[in-house]
Amino acid sequence: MSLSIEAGGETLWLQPDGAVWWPAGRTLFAADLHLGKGAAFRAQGQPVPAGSSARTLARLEAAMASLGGVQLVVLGDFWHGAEGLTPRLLEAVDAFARRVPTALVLGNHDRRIHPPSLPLRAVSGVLPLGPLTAAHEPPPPGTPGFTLAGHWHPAVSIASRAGDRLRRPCFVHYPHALVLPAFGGLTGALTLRRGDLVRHRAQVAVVGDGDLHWLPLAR
Amino acid sequence: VRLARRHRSNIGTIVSDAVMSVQFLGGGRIATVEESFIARLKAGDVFLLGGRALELVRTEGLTAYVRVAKPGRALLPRWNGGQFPISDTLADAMLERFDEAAQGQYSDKEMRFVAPLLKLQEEWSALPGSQRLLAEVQESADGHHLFLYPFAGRVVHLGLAWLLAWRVGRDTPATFTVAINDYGMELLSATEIDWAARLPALLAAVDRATLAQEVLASINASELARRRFRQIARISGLIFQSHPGEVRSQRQLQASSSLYFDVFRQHDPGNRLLRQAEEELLSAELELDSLARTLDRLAAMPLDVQRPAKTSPLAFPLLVEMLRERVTTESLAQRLTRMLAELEAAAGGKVVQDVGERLAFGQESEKAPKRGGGGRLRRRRRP
Repeated sequence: MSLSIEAGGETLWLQPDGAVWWPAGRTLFAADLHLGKGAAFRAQGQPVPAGSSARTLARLEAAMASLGGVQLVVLGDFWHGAEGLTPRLLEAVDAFARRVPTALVLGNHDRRIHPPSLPLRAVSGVLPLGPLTAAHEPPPPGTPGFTLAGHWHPAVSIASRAGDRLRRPCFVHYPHALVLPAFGGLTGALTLRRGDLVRHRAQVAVVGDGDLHWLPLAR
Repeated sequence: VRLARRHRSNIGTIVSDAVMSVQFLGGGRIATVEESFIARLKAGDVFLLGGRALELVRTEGLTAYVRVAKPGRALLPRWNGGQFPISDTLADAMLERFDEAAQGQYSDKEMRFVAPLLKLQEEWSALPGSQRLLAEVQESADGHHLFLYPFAGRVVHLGLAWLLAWRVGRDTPATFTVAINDYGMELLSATEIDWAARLPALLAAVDRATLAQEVLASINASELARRRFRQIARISGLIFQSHPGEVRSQRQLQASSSLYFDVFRQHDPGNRLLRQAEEELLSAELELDSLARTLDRLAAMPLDVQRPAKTSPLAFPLLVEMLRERVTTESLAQRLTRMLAELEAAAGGKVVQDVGERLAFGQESEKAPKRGGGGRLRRRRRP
């Protein structure tokens, strides 16, 4: 089940897998893939299982196919680190980008290591897309226009009666920006404080198991 | 070479709670105490250590500075003295004392001292004893409580509590938080469970192989496997701790053990490190044999279910126990929906907005005047 929001005069659909679908632009947005993170860890001798990067790419491709997207925009942190750029991964990404037209807004993890030979469009800074802007780092409050961004790997902690507590990744919808959860399989998260969310008039969509829920925030 | 060195230095790792040394302001060292205990105190709190009442002045790094407390200060927190369980013999002896008290015999000084408390327990609820199993069911603002007093020690209680939670979950999924001490245990849930009707079946004794399977299944529902995995991850080098004197670098290569745990489960469920976590739990932490013996003993006892209006003296220590374990048999979707519904009720009865309504809401917030400046959200270092 997806949830829709109106932003900059456009309708955006938040997807339960952490991506955002913009029907008018037939564009899919995803943030923070951190491809090759497992390989980077394995290069350091830490026995992390393989397969999470391949799965991330497969999930993206399946989503593009089912939605009929013509463009994929990755909001930064496509790669994780230099040790993760294995020949196998580069080959997989090369094949992926030939099938799926991909634009990449370079993130802090990408800037130094992104291999320019790959057939995807890399942009440093921000990428304007009509009424929307794609960026890696969320812009400060009050920035004009509407920006889609990643970088934070946002999550909220939900506490309830009987001491039950649950921490889940989430979308954060500010008046000026939408922050996406990390799409990659092997990624941590940043827990946002409820007070800050309320103060900045944010709406939070919590990622459940194959669905999304708006989080009721005390006003 | 670096890899080999790192592995060698991890092989001998003894995983323990971080300990803090306790020291007088003047410099005299007294003892070391688990960090988790000190972390719960604040300056000015008085605790007993080495036979002296000490007042916490401040903590610096891994040292807690104390001074001798002035007499008359209330002694509140106690040190649990690690996790050492009581023995069967001691438990039996305690139950005999409860039996005596039930017949109005208070034979020695200690028993006469606790007599008022025991009378209160009897008045509000009932006394436990060697011939019956006491259970107390209570409802509070926190949720629905079950207190059960098998007197079998912490280790068995923990295993038993999970087993109960898991057996409940077989037909009604729920999430519990579990508190234990040497005398009993508490299961607290947000949803109501008809304990009086279900407890006899839930406490049924089964053969060893079935029990082992059930306990293993209940471990998977709890967070303990995750915790045990953290220790194994440290030894195996997944979570790297700097060598003595080495400056830690390469932040990008740090990840939390809980993230590893999830990734392993997803991509490599047969991983040896995961299996080791399970096996260590079964043998070291849960003492399957004692659990089986306890179940046999409990199955033979009549159950005495009380519904006290007030928290009984026996239940109180469990109610305030800070270290709680969580066990869930609900699916993520069920759990999230229930928790969000509770939040909504608390936020003033707003119902879940469907997509259509939410559309209008989104426009509204978009049109609202924008705030300039303002602080950024708190950022933490990303793993």
